[in-house]
Amino acid sequence: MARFDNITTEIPPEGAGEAYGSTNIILTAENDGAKVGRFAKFSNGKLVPMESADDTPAGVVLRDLTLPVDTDPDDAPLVDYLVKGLATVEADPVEGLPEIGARLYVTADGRVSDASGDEGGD
Amino acid sequence: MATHLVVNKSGDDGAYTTIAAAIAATTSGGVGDWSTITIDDDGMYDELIDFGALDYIKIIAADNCIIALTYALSPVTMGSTAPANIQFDVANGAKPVLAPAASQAEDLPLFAWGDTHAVDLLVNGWKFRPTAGTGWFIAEGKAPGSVLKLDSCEASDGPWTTDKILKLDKAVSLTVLDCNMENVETAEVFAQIGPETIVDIQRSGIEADTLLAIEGPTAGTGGELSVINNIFVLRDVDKVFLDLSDGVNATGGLIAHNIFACLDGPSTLVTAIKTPYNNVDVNNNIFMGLGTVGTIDGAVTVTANNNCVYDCNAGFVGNWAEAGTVTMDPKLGDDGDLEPDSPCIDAGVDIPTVTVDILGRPRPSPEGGKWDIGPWEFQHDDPDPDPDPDPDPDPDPEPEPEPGNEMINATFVREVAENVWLILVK
Repeated sequence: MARFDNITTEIPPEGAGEAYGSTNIILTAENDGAKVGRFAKFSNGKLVPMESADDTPAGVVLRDLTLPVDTDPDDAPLVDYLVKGLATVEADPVEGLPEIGARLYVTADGRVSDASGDEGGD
Repeated sequence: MATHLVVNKSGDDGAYTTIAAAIAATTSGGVGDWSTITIDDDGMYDELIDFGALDYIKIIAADNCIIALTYALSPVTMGSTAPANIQFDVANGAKPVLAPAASQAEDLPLFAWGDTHAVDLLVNGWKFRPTAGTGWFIAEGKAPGSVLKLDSCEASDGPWTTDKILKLDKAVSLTVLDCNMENVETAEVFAQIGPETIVDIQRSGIEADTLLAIEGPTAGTGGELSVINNIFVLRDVDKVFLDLSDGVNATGGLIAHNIFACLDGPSTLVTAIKTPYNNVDVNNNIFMGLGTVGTIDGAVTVTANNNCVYDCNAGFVGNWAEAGTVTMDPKLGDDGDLEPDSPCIDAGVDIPTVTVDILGRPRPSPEGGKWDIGPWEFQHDDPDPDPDPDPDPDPDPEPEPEPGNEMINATFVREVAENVWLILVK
């Protein structure tokens, strides 16, 4: 007989868009559709989703804890974004996890990847 | 105007040293502008949390704090003089605990509100761990229109009440997502609800004699029922675990991708499902070691597609429209996942609305494949079940993003969930 006890003991981990630690640099900006948990860029003074791998990322958009639970977090008028420090970010699906400390890259849609996209890797 | 206060036992930077002091100093927030009280340390707080007439208040645990009061009262009360919207949330990956240590004479709820003023309560990421007393249960609020949502919560230790874990007689909705309630096994009933309560229970583990008990003098119009991707541990008792006969869920629902298992079994007593409705479908579930899988109350025909019935005394009894039933051993691994030779793999009926399994992994696997039976979706190694040597110009509706931006200086730290990484931005 298979065991079921405490199969869900571990509370699922936090989703993307959470900052960890107390030494982060977190700024606030007007939001224009930037997605929580992904890198975003600036356009006309507002955070918008990345559109290309060539865009300059501004930072990781963080979850707003003060939003009502029924509000789409992507629709928040003001959002915090992390420019330096520890945060959780959506990742491009990979077959194996990168090593700790491995260099990461931002994909065209604001997620992170361990691949640079160059032939033969970086 | 909303306030944003911080609680820290050190009192550094003007922080309040008690939660009660912060509550006394805060004001009600508003829609889209909640007041917050952030508990910013891992201290132990022995105090009652009474929100009084406050509305739109959110308690945020930013560290692993413990609320371990020794009062023989409900630790958290709200909605005493007016309707209230209250949330308990977490930040920074904190795992806070509500752990009353009082020796009360009667059963007490951890969260309490009255019969008059509706409360909308969300609890996200908190652990419930009573350590003393004759019996605790999680929440009691009988005000019409109340809403309770438990997300990523865990009930551990005890003693838990032997009666009911949730008493929500006239609630408009009950939502339980990603919760571990496997340690409340002393409870007879998991949730007491009203005839019109909308119920949504997904990706959770619950052990009880009865999942839902309906409280009401007359049957209501019925709330919608969604019971999907759960682990239900049943005991060998002469009861119906999920009985819809008392007027609930007349508007329909779905009971899918769950496992109903009696681990003491095989049982000859317990019945998993009893329903009088033909609009509550029972699909892609695993039933193991039970007395009876399903019975029907009345002259209706109920759909039961592609379930696995194994080691049960009786299957679907009565006028079920049963199809695709698997009667072989589902072959569950020690962690519950389907073994590679499980007959439940790709044996479910297609349910496009169910897109993840109990662990949040995508359904079906591989994409475009068939749904598995049970809470776990077997993850095929090959993402493409039919590799086509013929180059297909069929454009991908969502083009694969192109990795490549090297303008950030970020490194990998660890994976915190599937396709969610903790990274260090330098």
